[in-house]
Amino acid sequence: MALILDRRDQLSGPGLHVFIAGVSHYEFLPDGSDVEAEKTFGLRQLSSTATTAWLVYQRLLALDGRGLLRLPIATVHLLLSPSAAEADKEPALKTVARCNRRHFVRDAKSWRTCASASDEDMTFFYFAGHGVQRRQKDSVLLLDDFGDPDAGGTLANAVDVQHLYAGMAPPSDAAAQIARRQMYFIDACRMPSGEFQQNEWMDVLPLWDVALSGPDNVIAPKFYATIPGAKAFAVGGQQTLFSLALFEALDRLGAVGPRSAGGDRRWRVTAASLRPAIETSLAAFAAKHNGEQQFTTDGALDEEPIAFFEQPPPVDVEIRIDPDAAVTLCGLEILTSKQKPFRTIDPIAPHPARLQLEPGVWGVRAVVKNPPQPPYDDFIEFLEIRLPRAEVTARVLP
Amino acid sequence: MTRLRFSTKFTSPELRGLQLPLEVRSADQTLIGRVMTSESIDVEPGMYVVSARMPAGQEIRRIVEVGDKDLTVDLVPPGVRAAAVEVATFLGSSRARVADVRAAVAKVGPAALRAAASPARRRGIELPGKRVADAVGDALRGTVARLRGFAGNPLAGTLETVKLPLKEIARADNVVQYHVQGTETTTFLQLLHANRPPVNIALPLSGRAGCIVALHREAERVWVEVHVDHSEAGLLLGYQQSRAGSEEVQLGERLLRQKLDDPIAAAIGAYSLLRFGRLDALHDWTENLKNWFRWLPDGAAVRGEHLARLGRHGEALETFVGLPGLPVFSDGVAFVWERVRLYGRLEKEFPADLIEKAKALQQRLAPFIGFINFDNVVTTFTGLDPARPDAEVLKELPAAGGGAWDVT
Repeated sequence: MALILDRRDQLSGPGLHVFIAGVSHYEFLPDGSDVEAEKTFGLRQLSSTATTAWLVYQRLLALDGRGLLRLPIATVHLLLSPSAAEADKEPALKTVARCNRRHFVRDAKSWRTCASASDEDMTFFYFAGHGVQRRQKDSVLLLDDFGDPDAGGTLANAVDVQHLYAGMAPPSDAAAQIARRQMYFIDACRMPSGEFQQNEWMDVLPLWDVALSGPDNVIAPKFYATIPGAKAFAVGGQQTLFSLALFEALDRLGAVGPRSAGGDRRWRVTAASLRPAIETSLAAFAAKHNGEQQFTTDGALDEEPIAFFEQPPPVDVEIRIDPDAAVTLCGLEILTSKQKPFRTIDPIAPHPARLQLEPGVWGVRAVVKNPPQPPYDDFIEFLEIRLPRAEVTARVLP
Repeated sequence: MTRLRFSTKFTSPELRGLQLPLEVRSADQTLIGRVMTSESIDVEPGMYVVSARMPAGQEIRRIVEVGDKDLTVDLVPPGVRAAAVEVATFLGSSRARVADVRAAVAKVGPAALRAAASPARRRGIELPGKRVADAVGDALRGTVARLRGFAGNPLAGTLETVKLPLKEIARADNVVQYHVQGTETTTFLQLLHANRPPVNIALPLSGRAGCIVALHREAERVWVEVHVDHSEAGLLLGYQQSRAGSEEVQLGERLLRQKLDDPIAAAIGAYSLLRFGRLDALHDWTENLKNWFRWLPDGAAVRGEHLARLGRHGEALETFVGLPGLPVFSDGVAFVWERVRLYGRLEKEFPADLIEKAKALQQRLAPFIGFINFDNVVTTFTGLDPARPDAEVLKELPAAGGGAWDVT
């Protein structure tokens, strides 16, 4: 079954066409099956990429269910090749078609057909699994039957990302359409095996016929989990670091305020805001798991919303009185930017005070109780409270 | 309504008067508008946040309380910086932050570095007639590197060694800035390091404007960044490098709206507009760029890609096969490569002689594609012979001469 979700009949306007693929189990890599590829390039089975793809799918469904995607989901194509452990943990992974070459070609073509309904539609592509590169600015995704000795060339069961993208260009027929906003997430290594570079024109079997395009104003940001020549990492058996960072960005870190000139007034995530958010988040996750991973992007990172927030995401704020000796002598007032009282914290216990505020400009006033209490004096400052955390020091010692 | 005006506080001649793209947001983070520092914006009284982001990642942010009187907002660059190296500090990559390098050095400790440095190599940087003191101390001396210049067409193998017209314009901390005079020839700076592959960097030069080369010293190496001489184009180039989408769009359109006589600046603006699909903003500009500056490979690259995006593939291919050399900017190389590859596979769509030329161009480009670092906006690739890229590590420096400068 190519489509696992088809809501086109329910939509009255443009929609989002999703294609997600995740491969953990590789048939012809060591421990895959009885037959091993002639050349495995040191690649091993993966433990979390199929789960990652599933989680991405679930996350999109959840956002869609709350009306928080820029466009409602119209169609979903999903292919998963889970490991045995992943399937034991989440049996639903086994109900989805495998991500082998035959299925990928089938689903890619179906996805493209769905996305050809309207220029106003959007697409979302996510792949998690092994990836290699033959040269700089190259990315080849390995499907679960990569290395099949009966398949022909080494890269027969693989996908050239550039070729995938080229096939989604606007057709030359002016009457034909295709989604003009396309997002690509490549959650895979870009390992430059010396062998690939020696035979750098090692061809990937074409996914489809690519014809000359018509006028092309497609906006297509591409997010690569790692930089050329590097590996992408995961928390074993759970989720890739890149997807963790993406979720953090979608949940909070990538949030930017609304535009004032009409339109949707909700806080949103854009391609432009995703980049620094993922960068920060990925570095944090990588450090937490004792690794290092840098991601990169290609294409236009513009400011059109990808997803929205129901409410502005909260900022974790910590307010400390300086010096500590003055804590019991003070109370705290939080003021709005219009200098109206918002919240009082008295006594300040525990110290430092912790609360959540919406991003924006707030006033923090530390008031010395029962003045005068020399040498201490009131403190007030208006400052910008920004995601994800803010630390404020109220200095009551002039 | 109250009028807000803006003023930046850069001190270097290169950045003083620089037009920065700004964001003005209300206290609740609603975007009120985006303006350049030379423009003004009218707002209701209240609190606002005015911000600008530099290509190297630093942010300038001011909370402003607006009453009834018009106001000028001063935007002071963060941190204490030597005015002399503001270009390298603010327009370079995030790697170029002087303070970060300092911190890295401080972490290792000069004693450890001194222990690693051979006494025979404790000399300073030498460039024609100048000796540059190593500001971070003796601990960093010992790096051996050489700079060379090449001009011509590496695709055709017609490169010659040239003595680059370098003039030191500023130095501070461990950064030295040089100005390179403009020329109407594609020019490359080569950095040779023992035990590293040689790196070739295209210099964004034109007959109208030169560029700035910033030489950075780290514990074990010297590395180079280039900046264009045109301040707004340099700013846009920096935003392209750091993938700062909002700023890139804001500045790209503005750059192209100006009457530009610098083809390098125009190419930089065109690349941004192509990236964001702003084909309508390009008009006939790309045709002018290609025809008025025939020596500049990026003119053909930009024009060809523009035509391809318009669906005029025959004209695009004709333009690409006339490429006079390797584009100065890696986006240009990528455009040409991807299109020529695609067209070469669609032989039936084009005349046979054009396909033959396309395949010949593909063959000339192919050796470079594997060694260009496409994460750098300026075309950068490895190889001792710039006409024959490779990744061979240099075991020892070749003989000096032919206008080379030693960095020791």
